[in-house]
Amino acid sequence: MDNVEKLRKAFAEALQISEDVITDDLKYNSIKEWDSVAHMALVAELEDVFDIMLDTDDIIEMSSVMKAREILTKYNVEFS
Amino acid sequence: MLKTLHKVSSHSSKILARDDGGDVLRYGDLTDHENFWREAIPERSFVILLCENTVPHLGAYIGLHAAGHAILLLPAKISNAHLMQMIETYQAQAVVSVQNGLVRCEQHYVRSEALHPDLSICLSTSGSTGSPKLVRFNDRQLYANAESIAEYLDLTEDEIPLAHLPMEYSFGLSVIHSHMLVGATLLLSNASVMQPQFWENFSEATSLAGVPFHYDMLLRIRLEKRDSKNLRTLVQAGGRLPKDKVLTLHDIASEKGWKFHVMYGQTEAGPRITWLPHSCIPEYPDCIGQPIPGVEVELVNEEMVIKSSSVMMGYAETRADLSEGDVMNGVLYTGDLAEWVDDRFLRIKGRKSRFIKLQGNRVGLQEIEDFFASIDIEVVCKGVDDSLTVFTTSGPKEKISETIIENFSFSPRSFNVVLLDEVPRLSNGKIDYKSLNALGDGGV
Repeated sequence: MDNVEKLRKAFAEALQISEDVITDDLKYNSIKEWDSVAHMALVAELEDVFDIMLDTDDIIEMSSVMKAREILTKYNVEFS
Repeated sequence: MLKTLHKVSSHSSKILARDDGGDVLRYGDLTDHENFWREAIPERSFVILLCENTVPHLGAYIGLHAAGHAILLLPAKISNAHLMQMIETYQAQAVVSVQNGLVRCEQHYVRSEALHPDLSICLSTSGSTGSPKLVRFNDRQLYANAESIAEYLDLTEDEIPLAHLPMEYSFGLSVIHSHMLVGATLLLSNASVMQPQFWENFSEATSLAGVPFHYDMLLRIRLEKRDSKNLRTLVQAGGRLPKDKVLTLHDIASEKGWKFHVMYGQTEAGPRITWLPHSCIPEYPDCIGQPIPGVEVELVNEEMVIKSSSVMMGYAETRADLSEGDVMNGVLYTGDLAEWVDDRFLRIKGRKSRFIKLQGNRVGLQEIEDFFASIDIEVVCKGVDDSLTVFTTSGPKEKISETIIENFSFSPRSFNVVLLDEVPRLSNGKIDYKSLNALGDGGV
């Protein structure tokens, strides 16, 4: 499984939504499933899946799927 | 009460509130808001205000109140169906909302039954559930609680609280009232702990109030690494925070030179009832503390019964109830069972009724079960604060989840649905909650 797919799966799992809904444009608070409680679950899921530890600033900057990719890149997670 | 409760001159340019958009409300602006609403709605009316934490909303709230209207505060994100139900049930004369910074006032019922002359503010009994039941207050009750809060927290006009708790939520409203009383400056915000705006406000605020799930997030996001040039006080209420977290927060606060106080309240009490000061936490981390000034607590068969001039006038379930006077006479049976520890502090032992708090809001387990029964789905609920498990014999689970989210507005991640072949029952036919406990993981 490549990282793009892993990311989609992580979002789907944490937000408990279908993978079809997950596009780069999907933003925090734009759907009811991505609220602050789900955001905590998302952080845990991403840390688990990519075996990283996110900085606090990155957690609160992660306001869209696109932003999550950008941030993960800083942790040497590559999206080809 | 609101316009006149503070000691700030009505011409003062002192800032009462600033919001996420940078919009500012000054103490000196309040008379204009009052005059606006006197003209917009000439007769004393029952007005629904759809709330968000912004300056236009706060201006409308204070203006409507000062103009003599009785106000029901509801969240702006309320579903249309639920709003219509509220308008119908209480024959609301107007609904006030703010859209794109502009105040809108929709007229509804032209003629309604009379309102009790003292009725000033109504709040929903639960922040989010479908129940239309309201709590009724007069000015004296809300003023009494605000005054008590200002006293025990030693509030001054130098305070800059981060007012992020929804203003239609009794705890959030008490932050606003108590700080207005002393002429402080509110940082009104809709941002969650998980958003940068929250931390911008945090760096400037002198105090922060939160419910257990806010503190869970603050700990997750490593509060101990966060600096704030002004922060002095953290307060927690809205459900039980586990002892280990209370101690951790106490230690972080001590390290930073902040104070962390645990509090207990109920909407019906206006809302605050007891507080456990920072310095007493190491010895009594599982207690809710002592009654706040003006509140007396008595244990009647273990149940906490409070006497306070801040106790509500009563509930309302129909328009006719809005013409009722004070039926409580300052006495409230809380439904919480408690004991005194060392004759100093109260500790909660359990609840008489099947209520839990979910993200600070009260949730009646029976209410959820009854709702599903009404649509012929068998559901049994179990839970403690911030952990709700819904058992059902009728799948799929997703369908049950969706129904709950739609009708009760819970956060999708705040509950679990567990599918059972059969609800375990005792020989007498009653639900076997002990066996249920073993079945659900109950986590969030």
